[in-house]
Amino acid sequence: MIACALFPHFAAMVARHHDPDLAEKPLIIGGYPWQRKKVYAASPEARRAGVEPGVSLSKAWLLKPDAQFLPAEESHYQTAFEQIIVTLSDFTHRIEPDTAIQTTPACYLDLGPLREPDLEALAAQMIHTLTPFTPSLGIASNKFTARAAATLTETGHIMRVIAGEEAHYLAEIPLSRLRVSRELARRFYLLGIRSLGDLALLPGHAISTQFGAEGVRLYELSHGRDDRPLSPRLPETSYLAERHFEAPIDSTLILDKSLSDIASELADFLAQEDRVCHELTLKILLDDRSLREVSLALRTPLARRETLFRQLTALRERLTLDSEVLSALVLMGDITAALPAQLPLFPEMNASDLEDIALRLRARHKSLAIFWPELTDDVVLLPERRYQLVEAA
Amino acid sequence: MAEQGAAHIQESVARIQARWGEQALRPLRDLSGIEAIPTGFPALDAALRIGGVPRGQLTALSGIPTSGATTLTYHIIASAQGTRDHAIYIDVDGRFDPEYASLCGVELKRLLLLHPPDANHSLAAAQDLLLNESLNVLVLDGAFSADGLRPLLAPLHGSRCALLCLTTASVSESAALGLQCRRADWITRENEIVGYQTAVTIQKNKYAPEGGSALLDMLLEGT
Repeated sequence: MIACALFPHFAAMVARHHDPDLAEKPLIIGGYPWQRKKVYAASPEARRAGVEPGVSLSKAWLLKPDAQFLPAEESHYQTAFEQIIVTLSDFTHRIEPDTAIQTTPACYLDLGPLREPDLEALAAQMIHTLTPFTPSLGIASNKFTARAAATLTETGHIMRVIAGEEAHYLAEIPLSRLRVSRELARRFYLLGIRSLGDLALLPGHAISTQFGAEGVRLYELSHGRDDRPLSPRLPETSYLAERHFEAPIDSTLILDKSLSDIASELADFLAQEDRVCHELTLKILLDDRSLREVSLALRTPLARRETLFRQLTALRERLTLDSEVLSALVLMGDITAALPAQLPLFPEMNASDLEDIALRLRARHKSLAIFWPELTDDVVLLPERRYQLVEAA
Repeated sequence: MAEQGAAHIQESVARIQARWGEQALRPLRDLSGIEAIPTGFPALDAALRIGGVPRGQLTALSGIPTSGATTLTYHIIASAQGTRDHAIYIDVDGRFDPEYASLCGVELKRLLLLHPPDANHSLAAAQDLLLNESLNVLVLDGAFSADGLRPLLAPLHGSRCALLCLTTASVSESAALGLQCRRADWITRENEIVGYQTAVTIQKNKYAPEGGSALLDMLLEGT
């Protein structure tokens, strides 16, 4: 199931969150009446007086003279929306933000195969957790229907459309509320097609001929069919790895072994995502419940296991561990995409060239032992087990 | 008087170059054509005047064990690998330490390790590699004499390979660059030894006046 959390009057919500004194006042956001600017957003009270986004501020003042005028603070809105996404990520990691309409941002959430009563409970908890940024929540089998449900329900309420009943639910929605090209809207009007229900009644085979690709898309939507996949936002810019010890430990060697495992986990994550990290934080929880923490901003971004492990042990050495260790936690921060490698201008040697050299050498010098050195484990007690020499074929 | 002397020298140089070609004679300061691999230590690169160890030439690194010569070699390999070069390490005495090399930044996947049965086999393999293969860095680690290294020089000069000879003996007479390493001091942090300082003396340098030196910090967890 897909949920759509819609935040109407979002700018007013954020303004009231920053200044609680504005809670009871009608708000018009975008500037002051004497400025030659347009309304960016308005609170529900101002909207009821006819103040719409896009009208001039002077006209807005004529419509609602008792309103509080405020400049638009887009950076505040973006920060607040980011906070909302972080909060929602406790429910699911598959979140698609939709800020196509700046004043009414929305998020699509993939809730998986949840059913009643878990679905209702989860949705209610979601709304409660997001306070004071209360959304209207629509839940359906696809994005379009979920968005329509969220639009048609009130703030703080949940509307769930049961699978199979999408077309019935959408039938009353007027086509004028959808994004339709002017020419197609004109033709719908001339033909007396006013709502999605009217469109759904038309014979499917004639739609393409009469209304083209746009008409076909609307026809599919009118039947509650929307095959657009949910596109989750980019992966997180931080990654957490931790190890808990069953019994408190006082051995640096065991701690380093855990850090080695963590370094492997971090390197695997970075390799999988083709990313590098710029910050490392090591937190050690001691037996006396005190926390030791140290951070490092890396001069050069890291992705390799060996270098990650080296930095982690260096961080560990900077900590004073005067009690036994309960757990170790590593936070990798400021993760960015790895820069693409510069294409070489000239032919370069690669590993296979070196392998070829080894083969030719072996053919010419029978008594020569040729090896690839390989690290096996950084933290074993015996040095000879830390690496192996693999004989070149 | 000085101006007259300079003009006379310029005239002589021009005459020799016109007769024998531009490469026949050139001022020592004109070193821009020397291709070098940085050592990983800017102070040493500056002291060498050419920005590192030269390609197509022999660089001799000498010093007793724990003097820092091996660490310096590992750093040069790492520096070369940073520019996508490959390295081959001929280890006669089995002293190569992959763990420490990795700590110094050496990418082990781009390094081939040869264990010859003796020094003569290692020289034969080195000569073979220089003659027949396109290499970037070749390290000879063991006891070699200047005479033993001499057959390598001809194929070396025609290649882009930097040949590093890590030895306790003096082989500077065959080398373009002779570096002697000596441990100068310990580096401590909170009363624990975390590294040492190596004084590198430039015993021989074909590209600059000899006798320069540089003090390098070698940290035991890698630099």
